[in-house]
Amino acid sequence: MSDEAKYLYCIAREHEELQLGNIGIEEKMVYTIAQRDVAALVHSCPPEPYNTGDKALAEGWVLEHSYVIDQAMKKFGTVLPFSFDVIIKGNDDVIREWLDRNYERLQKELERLADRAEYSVQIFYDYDMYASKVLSGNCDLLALKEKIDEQSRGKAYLLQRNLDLKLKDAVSSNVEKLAEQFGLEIGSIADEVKAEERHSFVPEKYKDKKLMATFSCLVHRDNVDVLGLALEKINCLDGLAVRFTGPWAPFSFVDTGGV
Amino acid sequence: MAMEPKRNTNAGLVDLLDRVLDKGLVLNADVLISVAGIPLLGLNLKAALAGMDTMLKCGIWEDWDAAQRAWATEERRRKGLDKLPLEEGEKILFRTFGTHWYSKGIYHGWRPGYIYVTNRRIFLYKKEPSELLFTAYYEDIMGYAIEKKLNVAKKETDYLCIMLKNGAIAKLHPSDAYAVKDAVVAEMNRLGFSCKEMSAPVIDENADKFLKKGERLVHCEKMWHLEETFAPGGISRGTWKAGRLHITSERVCWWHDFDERIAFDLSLGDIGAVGIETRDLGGFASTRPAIIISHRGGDACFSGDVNSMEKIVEVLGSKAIEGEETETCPSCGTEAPVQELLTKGCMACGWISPRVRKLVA
Repeated sequence: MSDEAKYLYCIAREHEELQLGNIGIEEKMVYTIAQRDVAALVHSCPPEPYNTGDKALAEGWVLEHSYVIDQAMKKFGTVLPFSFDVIIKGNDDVIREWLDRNYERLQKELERLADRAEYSVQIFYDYDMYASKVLSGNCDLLALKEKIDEQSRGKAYLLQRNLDLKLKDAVSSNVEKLAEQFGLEIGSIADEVKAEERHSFVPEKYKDKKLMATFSCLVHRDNVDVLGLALEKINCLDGLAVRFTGPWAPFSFVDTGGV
Repeated sequence: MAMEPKRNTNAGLVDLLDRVLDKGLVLNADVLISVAGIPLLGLNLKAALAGMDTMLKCGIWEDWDAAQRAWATEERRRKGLDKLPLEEGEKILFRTFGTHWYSKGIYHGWRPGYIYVTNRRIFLYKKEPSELLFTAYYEDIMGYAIEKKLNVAKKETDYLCIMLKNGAIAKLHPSDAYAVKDAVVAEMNRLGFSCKEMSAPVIDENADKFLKKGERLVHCEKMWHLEETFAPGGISRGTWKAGRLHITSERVCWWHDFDERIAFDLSLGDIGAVGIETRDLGGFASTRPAIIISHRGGDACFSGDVNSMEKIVEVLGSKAIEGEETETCPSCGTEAPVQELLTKGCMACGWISPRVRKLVA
């Protein structure tokens, strides 16, 4: 068995074998291995995963991985991005064989995602503002609040805690409904929308606000402006802020099954 | 006005991490050698990037933890260690709580578990995490000794020493040493093995304080040592001090009980002659025999029980000192010479060192 391996960046629609320069991880030469009209962007490496405990180094690798995919998107249009650290053991022929075996699936996937890119939409809300809004519209909570003012300090403290918890529940159910509504709205523009369940990154700018929802959206080139308009509307609503990032390669939408 | 999607590199990095590490195409073909999704491969990188806090928040840790647990459980199941490591047809005759004296490298201490006496062997087993701490088959046992010693709480307790035919000695501290001894001896006799009572063995907890790496304790006896002090005027006077004389694979040394340190230290190669003489040494030993170890610096005198002294002279004159260094098999705990374990593997359970396995593969 040879000690050769190929690190995979992405799959693009290309029939030629091209050298893309030393743009890869640790300045590795990235090139395409083509089979019919589908090509894999790779660099040659030893058959070992990239792994480190060094934060700066790891960040560098991820940025480099992403840089190659960005360059590929500029050059080839839609690509199918690989996750970090996917390595196939073998030479170019092994990759070609793999491309050939999965040709139809890759081809279909490229077609489905053609002219589309992934965007991320994060919606933030101002908790205090929403809380007072919810409070003023809820008689039960208002009654409880009035009761607090009449109590001794000890009892008032307990009731206040009670109120805070109830208010928090009321706000989050309110916010969930709102998020669902925004999700539907975005879904009418985007081809596909996924609500991300994991907490995603919150930039400094929004630190005083709470995250309502994060959506990954697959959007057709022609619809990006429409989505931008819709988001601007949400952004202008009182107590709300939208963070709109992209375009990314369709990391969240590429079908990972079966290749 | 429409919002413009943005990508700035600083904030973008974290957005990227979410995607590049957790999403995107992965492979499940046989050509695959690594995928970020497989725990341990991608994890280091995620850990480096995210920091513990984020990892907890994002659930990366849980994923990894779950994977690790699943793996560990599977491993245990595979090795069959979740239940007692009994062999086919092996029956438990007696069980009691106990500890085993473990001393290897920088670690030494009493390791607790349950002592099982079966129809084949005696072993000490710890359940969580499951580990066989000590095992001895009856055919490998030569004899036993019960030693009375003060425990940590300065209370006298019984220690059970099991002498193996390969010269190794296992030291156990069961809650009832006599009960364990009786069970072992009775079963060994029933099976036609003899198990003699032997004199208390060479184990000395102090030894761990002065033994060097690779040095092995061969023999140890309670001995008085004549410490020479030179009074003004050149008249040599001696003071007898209590302690223990140790013979190791490298030297003869005497541990001073009161000072808790080695007060006499002589490498084996520097010994001139050894003999028991009755010399007028003054003090209580004036008419008693003493071991005289001659060396370049003069004569060193030790005295004690006559049997002990004879044993010391015998050991110093024998080849017992130059025995092979032994180790316990990491899988079943059987004692075997280090080189044999490393190159051939364990004769008892068939364990082979990963290095050898790699070479063979």
